[in-house]
Amino acid sequence: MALPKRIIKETERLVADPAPGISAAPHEDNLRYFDVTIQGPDGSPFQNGVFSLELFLPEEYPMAPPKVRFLTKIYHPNIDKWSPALQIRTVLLSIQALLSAPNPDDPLATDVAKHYKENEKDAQRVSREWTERYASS
Amino acid sequence: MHFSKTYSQLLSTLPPDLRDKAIEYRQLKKLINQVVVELTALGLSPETLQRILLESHVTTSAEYDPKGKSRESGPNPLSLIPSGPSEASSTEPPLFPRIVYELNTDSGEIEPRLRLWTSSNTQFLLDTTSQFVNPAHLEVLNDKPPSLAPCDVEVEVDSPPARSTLGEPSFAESRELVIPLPSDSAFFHSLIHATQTLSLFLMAIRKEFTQNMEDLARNISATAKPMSSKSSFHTYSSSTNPALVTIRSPASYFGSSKSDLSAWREVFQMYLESEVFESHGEQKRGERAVEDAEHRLGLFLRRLGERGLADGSGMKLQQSKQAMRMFLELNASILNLLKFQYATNEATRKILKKHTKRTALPINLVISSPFSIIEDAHQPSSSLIRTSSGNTTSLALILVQAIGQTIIPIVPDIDDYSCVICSDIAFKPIRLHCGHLFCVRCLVKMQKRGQANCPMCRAPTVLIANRSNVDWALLNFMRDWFPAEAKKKMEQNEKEAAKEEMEELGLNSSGCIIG
Repeated sequence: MALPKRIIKETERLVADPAPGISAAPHEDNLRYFDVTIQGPDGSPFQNGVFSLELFLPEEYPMAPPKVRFLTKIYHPNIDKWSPALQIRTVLLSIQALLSAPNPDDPLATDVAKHYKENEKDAQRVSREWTERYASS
Repeated sequence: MHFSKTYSQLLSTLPPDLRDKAIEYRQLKKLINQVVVELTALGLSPETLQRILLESHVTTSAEYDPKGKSRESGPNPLSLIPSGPSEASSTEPPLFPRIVYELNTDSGEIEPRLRLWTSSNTQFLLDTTSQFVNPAHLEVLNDKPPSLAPCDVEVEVDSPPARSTLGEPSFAESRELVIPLPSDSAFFHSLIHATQTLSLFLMAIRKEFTQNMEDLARNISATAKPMSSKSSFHTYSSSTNPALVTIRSPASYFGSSKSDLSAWREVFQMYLESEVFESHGEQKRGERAVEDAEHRLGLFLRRLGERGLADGSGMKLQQSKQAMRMFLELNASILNLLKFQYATNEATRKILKKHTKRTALPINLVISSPFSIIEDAHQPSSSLIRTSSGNTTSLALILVQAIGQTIIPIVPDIDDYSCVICSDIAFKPIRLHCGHLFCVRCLVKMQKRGQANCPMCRAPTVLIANRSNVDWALLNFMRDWFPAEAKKKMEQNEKEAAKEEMEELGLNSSGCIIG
């Protein structure tokens, strides 16, 4: 099945002009599957960490959102509603921004969110520890 | 490699009209040597000067005196930070001997001079003083031929600087001397004059460039005509039913009277992608270095060549070929200007550095580059007066941007008419009630999936969209300017819709043979 123009365009730009702190490269044998790394933003508990993610574009993309999964263990509470006007780049930038500002009111990891709400300092400490343990090269 | 060699090599690659206006680096270097000779004759060899400057802590104070010490009223591309005795080391204890290197601009020219204070009441200082200001030397200077004039050495005895009113005893018997430096004046005269001449020349270049560019714009407009340039095509539709829209192929329209619209579109697309002179990337933005720009221009030319566009052989009209040549010439002239700009700025920077290094005179002068243009509506662009603040743009970049604003938009860019969902041309264009525009195919898909919200603003406008949402003006514009692209997209849409229909009927299109 031929790759839609939109995916070709997005991939070209991701490779030629990557967003700062983000890399995304498609698999040679499956151009809908990307290896992604995101650098932890400075000033966040994830600073100095490099996080690996996998990103997959389903057949319905961009009507349906890409599927993104953290491969690196991360201590973080959350992820937003999809729109076909969003792109791989914007999704990854949103993830990077979430690392800077965790939002415990809209959690995926409920226990981490609870921790962030009850004792933010201590939760950040754990986030830092996890970054050091799992996301340092 | 010595800079003077690099410099002349760089200049040798430029056309003679630019080369002739270049700053004469070697000549200026010779003048610096003369300054050293002059200073040494005064007993102020660079070593001596260096030592006195260090001992007396006189760094020509970089404090800028806003009370009119800078005389920039003439046609003078200078940012002067004058250093006078009044503001020099005002908080430090007075030490003798003291020297201040001044750039006097009273006459409209830069006349460098040394002002020095000596005290006669201490034996030690007298010794030091006599070391470097030997009255005999001053007399020798006075005897020199008039070619070195004005060379009068003013000796103002007992004329202490203003600070003596503070009543510090050591000032009581100080002496102030002002020593003009003719060779140094010649150095600055030469440098400033060259810079001013260059400024005027660059204004002429800019004017010529603008003229050429406007001619080119007319030529391209005449050769990149849309479908409506043929009388048989109309930019309005007789039908209100979008299903009845047809697009005839451009070839059948133009017949013998031709347009190079698609060729020019391809040229400009490649040109924009090449980002020859300016980077628009996320991590590195702005003007490119000379080598990078040269390399990219080469790549652009090669890509054009591969498509048979560089020499215009891929174009139908004679006028297009001519315009293509002109377009490439304009770009080549920008590259030359970029080189010239780099060479001149480097030469100016290096020669001032050399001046400081060789003479030990603490220079405090910023000569703004004649290539830096301040775009200010309140100030006519012909003005040579520069202010040190404010954003400046390099001339090369201004010309690049002029191409981007005048030439490139002649041919509408398909990216400005694409659907954000499929990234293809938004044909047929549907404008939702929220104002956002998508292609009909993507909206049909959204409706089938029950996705109600606009992808751009999330307003619930998708499901209520229907035939009345067709943007007819835009549809006709697209048929006019993007006939090939619109036709292709329409065919794709039809194919995809047919396939979808099959699948909805439970049939696999690849396994189904329609008889």
